[in-house]
Amino acid sequence: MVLPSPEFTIYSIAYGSSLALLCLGLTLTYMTAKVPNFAHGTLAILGSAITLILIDRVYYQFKGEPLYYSIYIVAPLVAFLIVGLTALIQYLLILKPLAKRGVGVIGLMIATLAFDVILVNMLTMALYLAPSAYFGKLIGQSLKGFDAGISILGVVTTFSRIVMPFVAVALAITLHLFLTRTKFGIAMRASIENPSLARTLGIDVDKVYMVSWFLAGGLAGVSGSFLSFIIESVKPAAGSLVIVSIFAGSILGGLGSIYGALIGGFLVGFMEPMTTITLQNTLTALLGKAVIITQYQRLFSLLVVIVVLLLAPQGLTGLNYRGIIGRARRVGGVG
Amino acid sequence: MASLIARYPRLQSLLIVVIAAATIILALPLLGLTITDVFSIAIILIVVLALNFMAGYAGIPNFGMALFVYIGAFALAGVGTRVALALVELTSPGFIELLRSSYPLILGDSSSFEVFVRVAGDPMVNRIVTRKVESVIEASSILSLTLTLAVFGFAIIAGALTGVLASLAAVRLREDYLAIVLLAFSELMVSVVFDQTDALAGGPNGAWVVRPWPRVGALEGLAGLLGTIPDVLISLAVGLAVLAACFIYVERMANSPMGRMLRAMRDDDLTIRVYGRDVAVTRLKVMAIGAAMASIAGAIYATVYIQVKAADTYDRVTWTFVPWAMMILGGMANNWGAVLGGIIVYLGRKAIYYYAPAIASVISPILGVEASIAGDILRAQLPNILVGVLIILVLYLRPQGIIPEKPSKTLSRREIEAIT
Amino acid sequence: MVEYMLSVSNLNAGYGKFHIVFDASFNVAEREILTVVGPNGSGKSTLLKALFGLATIYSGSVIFKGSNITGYPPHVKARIGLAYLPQTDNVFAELSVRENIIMASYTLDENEARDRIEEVLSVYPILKQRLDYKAKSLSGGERQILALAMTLIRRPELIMLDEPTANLAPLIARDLIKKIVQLRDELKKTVILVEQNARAALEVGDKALLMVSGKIAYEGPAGALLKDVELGKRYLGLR
Repeated sequence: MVLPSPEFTIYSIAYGSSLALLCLGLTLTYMTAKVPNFAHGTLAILGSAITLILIDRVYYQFKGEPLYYSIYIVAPLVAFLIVGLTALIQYLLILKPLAKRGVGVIGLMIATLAFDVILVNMLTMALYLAPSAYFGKLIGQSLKGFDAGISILGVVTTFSRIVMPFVAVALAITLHLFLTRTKFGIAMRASIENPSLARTLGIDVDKVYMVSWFLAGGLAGVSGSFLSFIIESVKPAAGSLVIVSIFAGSILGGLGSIYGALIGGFLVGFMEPMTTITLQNTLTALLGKAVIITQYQRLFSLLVVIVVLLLAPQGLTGLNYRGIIGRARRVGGVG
Repeated sequence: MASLIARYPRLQSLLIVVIAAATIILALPLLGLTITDVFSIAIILIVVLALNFMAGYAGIPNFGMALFVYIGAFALAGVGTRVALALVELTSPGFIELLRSSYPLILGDSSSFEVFVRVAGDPMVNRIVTRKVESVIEASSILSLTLTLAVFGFAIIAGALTGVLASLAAVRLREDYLAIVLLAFSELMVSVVFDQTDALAGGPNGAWVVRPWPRVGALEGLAGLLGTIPDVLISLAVGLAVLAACFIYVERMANSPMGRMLRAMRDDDLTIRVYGRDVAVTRLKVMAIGAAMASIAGAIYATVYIQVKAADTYDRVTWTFVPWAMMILGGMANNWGAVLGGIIVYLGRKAIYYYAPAIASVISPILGVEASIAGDILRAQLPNILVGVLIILVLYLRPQGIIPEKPSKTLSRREIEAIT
Repeated sequence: MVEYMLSVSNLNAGYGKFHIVFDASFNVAEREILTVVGPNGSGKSTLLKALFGLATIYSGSVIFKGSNITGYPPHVKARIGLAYLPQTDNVFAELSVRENIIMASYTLDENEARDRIEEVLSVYPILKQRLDYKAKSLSGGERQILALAMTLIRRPELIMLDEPTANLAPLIARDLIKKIVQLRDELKKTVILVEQNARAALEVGDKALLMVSGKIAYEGPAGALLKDVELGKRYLGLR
């Protein structure tokens, strides 16, 4: 077996971190609206597009200057707000009124798919038609050249790849504190578990759900903003493949726990490139000629979805760990 | 008139069909519709009926329709071309050798096996060989009949198998999991596996197919009159015949005990929990039949649109999302509704396509872009945006669609849940 | 004219198309236990849900302390002095006991909430020992006490209880009924008690409603219904 390089490992950690945030958001909206949001991948791409536009209009002028580094704060923040609002609009304008009219799960799912199609096509139109200051045209541009380089312990990598994991951990800890230490956060957990009881206690459940959707969208925006430096090019249609990995991570996490979503998302995002490149390098070494399989990388996500649903549909959080450990002990002959 | 309709409910359906048919005929010259538009409508209606069978009657949220349609196209592009070459080589040995000597630069050092791989996998070889093979096939009615059987046989079997495989992981689970798995499976098979593997059917470049139809000289006069070619007329006839057969099948099934069971399964979660195993088996059967129908549609489609590109031509919006919009607009679990919705959405999209340049000429000065560029972009994006808006509006204003499901049902699950 | 705590007139209610409660009219006086009994599916629970705004009211009026609250949404009713204890899922199982209690005091400001929580914990000391346990780890009886404590924190004047003793062992059920009497006698609350266990509930009730097929078949003193052999036999399985 040929192990991946440290550079590649750092890339995989960054990708895993961004997928963890995406899975967290998807799971949060799934727990409130009880419907998987098929537009979540495109919400991330919207965050990427916002970053692209910021660089095209403003930041290209500062390339190489110290001021340029503020892009890693400004872009995720702007993306957080705009994408958060977009998700909120999706909930308020589409899902909530439809659910109120008694539309079933299938109808709600197709409505999120409809929103996805609207969003992808609007974004495509905008990127084609919007004036561009630096690139000439916005569609399909790569931002790899705009990611500041950095070298740590002799490993050459980029700034976004180093920052992304820290941002993800910081956001996860903040969210944890919010959900366990603040009254509104506890109300959020309460409203998710039992909305009608929450209402009888005087909690405004609608407001709680609105905040959930805004947060979920905002996290997708942050994630997409960092992803824009990693992906080959910023194109709206990419969301339709990203969504498969988001579902894989969320299903692995059990679709019912935000902690499960974080772990599931990171595992899928980290393992997907790592497994693929390891397999590719190993096959190349074994066969003695160049084998390229990275174009099939996403199949790993599909495999995760299928294996988890066949073996443990409840995901990681649904597993009975005591039972498994107990069985392992018995097999081992201990106790 | 109204009392007449009340007395003969069938008349209402007939009236709708007559109106729909009249609309098409009237709209034909207006929008510049051609015989291939009628063909495309027939194909998309087969897909909508298959979807109605799966989603409307059985409650399977099939978000992966595009894959099943593509499998049918692959039956021609990936399998048909190779079977055709084999048939030609078997009946007139030396054909491959002849090809090799005619194109020494391209095929000179390829083994016979490599020629078979490259005939669908390599764009240049594919381009040269398919037309040559086709001219041999269409000259012999036996060869073309054999190829037709092989291609459609493969489309049916592979379509059904893919339907089963795609849903297997979530067939026992709730609808939302099923939807996720079907979307993920379809998306990755079409735009990763088939689109990234040249050897299957040309990868991103796609492959040209060998049309399996025989040459029918008698059709040439009619084809010329309609501004098309005989092969397209045969495809149209086959498409309409399959459409009629699918309609009759789904309609009969809906009124059979099996249809009632499907609807019970759809409306009541408890059924799924209590009869878990039976429901899983029934769902798999529905997936197999529906996917095979979609696959046949894809195969017929590829006989007219003979360049088959996986992710480009068989994309999620055209073959999954638009059929859903057609079904929801027309009325889920109502076949007449599905047909009507299909025709309306197709014509609507065509109309937007037609008027896009006019809209572009108005907005382009405001945006400061060239009118032709704005026109192209509007043509590509606007129909999709409007179909998305349409779905949401229909779900909100008239979730039962234009022609609702015939009432024979009891309480829905939601209503029962509200009580208990 | 006597001012009632709650005055219901010609109430028609149900869920969507399903009309369940027909033309219900009754009054509840202050510091009174109104016991609602009746066979399964007679509309007892729907009546409570309609009063609290969780079922649809088609017509009729609900007057609480002289003001018309018919159309108020549940979270507003919770703020003006009504409390409703659902039959099942009446605590947040995944939240700790402490978090459950914090949620119950959601509408109060911080200082007030702290005092009320202290107060309730002193009334039900058993909860004090369980503060950091998840509610799902409590026993059935403890859960109902937590649920009761949660409804009391906001100091509601009118408490509506939907079959609080269902699924409890007889001894624990009897204990809970005692606590309900305590609500009236010591905490001076008005209670509407829907019960399947008709005898125990009628014994503690001041007034009773008998519901049959969505209509009120009897309204009067609870003791009289308990003694009415005919009605008791036919609808309540009493001997």
